[in-house]
Amino acid sequence: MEEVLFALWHALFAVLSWQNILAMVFATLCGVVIGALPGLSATIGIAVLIPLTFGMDPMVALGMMAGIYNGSMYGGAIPAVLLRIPGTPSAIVTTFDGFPMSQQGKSGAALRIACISSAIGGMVSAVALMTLAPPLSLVTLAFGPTEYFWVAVFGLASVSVLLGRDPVKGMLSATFGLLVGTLGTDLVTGYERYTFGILELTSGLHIVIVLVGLYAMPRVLIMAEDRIREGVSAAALKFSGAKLGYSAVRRFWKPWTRASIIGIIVGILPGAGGNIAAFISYNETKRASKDPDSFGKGNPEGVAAAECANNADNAAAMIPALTLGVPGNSIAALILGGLLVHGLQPGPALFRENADIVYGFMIQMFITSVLVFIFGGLVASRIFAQALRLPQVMLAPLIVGLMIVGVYSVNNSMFDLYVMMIFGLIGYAMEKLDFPLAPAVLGLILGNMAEINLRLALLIARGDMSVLFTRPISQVIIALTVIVLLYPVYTSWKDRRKGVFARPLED
Amino acid sequence: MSLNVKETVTAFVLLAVAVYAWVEAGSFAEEARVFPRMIAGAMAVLSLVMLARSFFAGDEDRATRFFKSFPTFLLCLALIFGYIYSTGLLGYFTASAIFIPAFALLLGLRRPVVVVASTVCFIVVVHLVFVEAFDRPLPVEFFLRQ
Repeated sequence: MEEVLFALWHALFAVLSWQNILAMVFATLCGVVIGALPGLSATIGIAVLIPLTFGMDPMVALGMMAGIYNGSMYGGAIPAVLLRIPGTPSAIVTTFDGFPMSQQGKSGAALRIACISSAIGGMVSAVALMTLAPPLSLVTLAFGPTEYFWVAVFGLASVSVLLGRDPVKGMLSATFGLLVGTLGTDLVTGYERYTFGILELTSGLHIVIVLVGLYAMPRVLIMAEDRIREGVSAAALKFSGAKLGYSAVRRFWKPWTRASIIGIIVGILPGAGGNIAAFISYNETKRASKDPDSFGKGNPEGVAAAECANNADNAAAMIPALTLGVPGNSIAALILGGLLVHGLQPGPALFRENADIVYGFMIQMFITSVLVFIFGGLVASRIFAQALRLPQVMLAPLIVGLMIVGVYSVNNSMFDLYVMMIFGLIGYAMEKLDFPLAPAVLGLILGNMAEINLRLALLIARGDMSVLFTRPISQVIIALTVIVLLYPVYTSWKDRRKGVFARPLED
Repeated sequence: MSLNVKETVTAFVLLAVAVYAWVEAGSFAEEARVFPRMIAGAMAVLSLVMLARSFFAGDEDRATRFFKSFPTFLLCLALIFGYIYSTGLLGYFTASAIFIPAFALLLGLRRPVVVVASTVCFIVVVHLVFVEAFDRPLPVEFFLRQ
């Protein structure tokens, strides 16, 4: 524990540089705006941001990702409360009581509760990240190539199965990502794989190009198809009933505590996102309430529970990501990609060799949650809400412009822009056919790790395949993988008995 | 297109990709082909599961259309391609000044003040933030090339 505190103290000085603070403030503000715009989300914001952080100091880049992440989780509450349209999937539950509060003339109070709850959830989650990630990283010191191979398989299996509605489509998405990851020159033999004789493909596909193509371009195409030419009217964005006394805030400490714990647990589980945390937290708060019938009719505790949980998921999702390379949700998968872009490999080595950066990132997750509290007040929310007045048909080309800036700067290559377009079409087809994108991204990120460790394990064992199944830690990970793969069979059987068919949504 | 037909076609396409990947991997060095073939095999099996499921799924939602508006989709795709192509030809800011307003106007936005203001703000912000502050390389304008 002392070492962790020392590392945090040391990293604090690096975090508090003016460039970092400026980056975090700017990114948090952008995150709130991105979250407030229906059709955009933290995933798209971070996917577009990652290439733009090329050449930046890694800590500045991670600070911006932290800002967008935490900011957007609050930003999604703004249209959820005012218009009953969640700005992000995680804000769906906020509409249950946020919009009725708005109809009762209490939109200001609802947004203030959402802001404070988001900030508290984010701060608690960041503390959990600081306390749980370092000891977990030490456990991975016992991991060898076999274990890392199975960790990659477990990560892919859990994200494929738990994220999205259809496990088969999730796994197909993962295999697609894995296959794309094999494109290029094989590092061991030097043999070119799936390059079609194209010189630019010999070094493989940069993850940034695929990320931006898969996530951002489909959104642009869908916005264009929707052809929404009007933004929201100014009248619909009026705030009212902003008074929120101290006694009113005190009453939320139980929902906040419950929501924070739920958000952290859900965040650590690979594949589960903020929307799941918000749903569970809302249901538990309703169950524990003395007046459960008031939920869904404008009970402020419903807003507090939902917003606190969806932000408490944020930093916690980075715990398995930073220690094992297995993200807790799809946004953590993108941030993992961002880490790799800056040459930072998840695992115990990250905590040893880049301690300032990784502990600095934890502090940045905390600080950006505080910034949500500072900037998410009513004046700021009134300003952010104006972003909703921009028509989507105007937003679409601006996103394309940012995509071009980001992808071009990877290799200064026009070829990359056309590759981005191809992946954009693939991403569009995947969205329309209900294939989750996160497993494909994770396949791309973990594929290399899986292949290298598999080949290393077999090399050490001189081709003896039994080495993959005989080590105790590997057996535990294999068992967890099997449980995860059988989970949909179990839930399907359970749902058939109850006649319920709800599935979680991807962030 | 009904949902079942979409699923069937998708499964066939993925199966074809898996078969291609498997066959193509046969031309790689022995060590280099193991992992791609493992993935291709898994993809093929999952595609067959999806194919089987699409035949036996029964009556599901047949009203879901793939394209909400195919002409608009094609228009947007053409505009994106044009934006990218002209970025290389004319330079990033020149292409942006042409294509951002064209995009919005062709998609039906008839508020010239909003279009012009958004375009100008975007170009100014990108220039200040990414070119001046972060020194990001962008395709040079055609009138500045030597």
